[in-house]
Amino acid sequence: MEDKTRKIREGDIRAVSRLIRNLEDRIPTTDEAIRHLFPFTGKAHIIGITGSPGAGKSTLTDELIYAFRQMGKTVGVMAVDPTSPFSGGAILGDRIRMQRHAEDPGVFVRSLATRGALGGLSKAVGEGIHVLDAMGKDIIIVETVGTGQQEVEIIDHAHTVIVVLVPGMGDEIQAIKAGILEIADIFVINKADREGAGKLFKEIRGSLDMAKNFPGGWRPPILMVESLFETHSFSQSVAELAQKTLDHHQLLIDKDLMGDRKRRKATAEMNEAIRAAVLEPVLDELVSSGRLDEMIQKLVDRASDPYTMAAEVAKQYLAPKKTEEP
Amino acid sequence: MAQKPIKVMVAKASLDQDGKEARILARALKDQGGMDVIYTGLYRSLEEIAEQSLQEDVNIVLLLIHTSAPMDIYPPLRRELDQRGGENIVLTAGGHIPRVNKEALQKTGVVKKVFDYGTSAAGIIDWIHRELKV
Repeated sequence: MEDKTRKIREGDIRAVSRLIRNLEDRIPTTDEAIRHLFPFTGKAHIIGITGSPGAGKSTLTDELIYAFRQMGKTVGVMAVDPTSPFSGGAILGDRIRMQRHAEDPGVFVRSLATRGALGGLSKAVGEGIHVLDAMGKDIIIVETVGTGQQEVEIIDHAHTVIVVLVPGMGDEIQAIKAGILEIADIFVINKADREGAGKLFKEIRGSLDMAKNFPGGWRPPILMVESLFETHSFSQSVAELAQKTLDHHQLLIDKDLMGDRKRRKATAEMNEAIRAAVLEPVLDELVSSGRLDEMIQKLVDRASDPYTMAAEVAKQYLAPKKTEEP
Repeated sequence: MAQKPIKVMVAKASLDQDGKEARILARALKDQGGMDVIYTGLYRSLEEIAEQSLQEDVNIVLLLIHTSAPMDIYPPLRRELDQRGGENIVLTAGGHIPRVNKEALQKTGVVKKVFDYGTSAAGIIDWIHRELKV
């Protein structure tokens, strides 16, 4: 185990990628590996990028990698793609947009599949971040589709959250509905040369105006990024975005707000670890014994209700609380 | 927990321009085969393919070729993989591979399997499942 820890800290690609694979596949022995790596983590600046499919997250990430590399920083990327609920497969296509860093040893890009069903993705991502952190990456970018509870949980691992919106996709309303305004530290209006960018800008600005106060005085900036094909202006906009994320990180440190972020991250990690240790073994057993199917069938037949059956499971697995004698 | 999905990289190298069959195959491996698939896109260098397949820890690299020059692609790719510690990554070939090259590639162990022109996606999925015993 020491040997493996050392290899990962030295940035051995094989060791790192195998461990992340095991995290993704939820191999139980990974807990031990992460335990050994844990003391070497906590140094990286973790950036979350979220937004609807097709918003241009991967392309932005690619350019961000470039911007950070220009500043001499090393970068790790975790790109999360949804697994098909029908076949269980996934096309991990984000890195196709990050090709030009393929041979740069200062960049490590990894795709993760969501693996659906029983949750726990956020745990794999959180632990994957630890691995890249221990590997010595200065910046870690986590890119995820911004829909669903799992993805929101993933974002809890980030220090700086970038929300990418595009005009004309109904995002104006979606953003407000999804509670995405609350989690964003920086807004990017991507493809801002499209019609409706001004309207989107005003919507976000309006919502921000309604907020009462901003922790540390950081009012999330709204950046317009346009026309990927105008290489120069595109690069400039993204370089500005890179600078803003660093400013935000600096502000968190200066205003002593890192504690809040670390607390948010720690809360997420604790929740996930408890869920993995307590809930998952129970679910595993229910699935493999066929009991979950039986219960589902009962529910379909209306022979019982979910609460009664859940209470039965709880009674079986949870030790009874000791009640004090009067 | 659930069974471990197989991870496959579908690759296209150098100046080979024909990416349609790679995209269709990637889709089939995902939808019919239930695999995690990384498609590299066109015009990748062998170094890029090797490095990415290691970063992603794939089980299999399936490189498709339509340039009729497989001997310039597969042996150096195998070397790149081995040099980076990817000895256990299974290298397979598809597309247009001349018969004489096919024998050479499989006999020397450079390529574990050459899928002949016209092999169905189901045939490829079957082979992968058998090879990885799942």
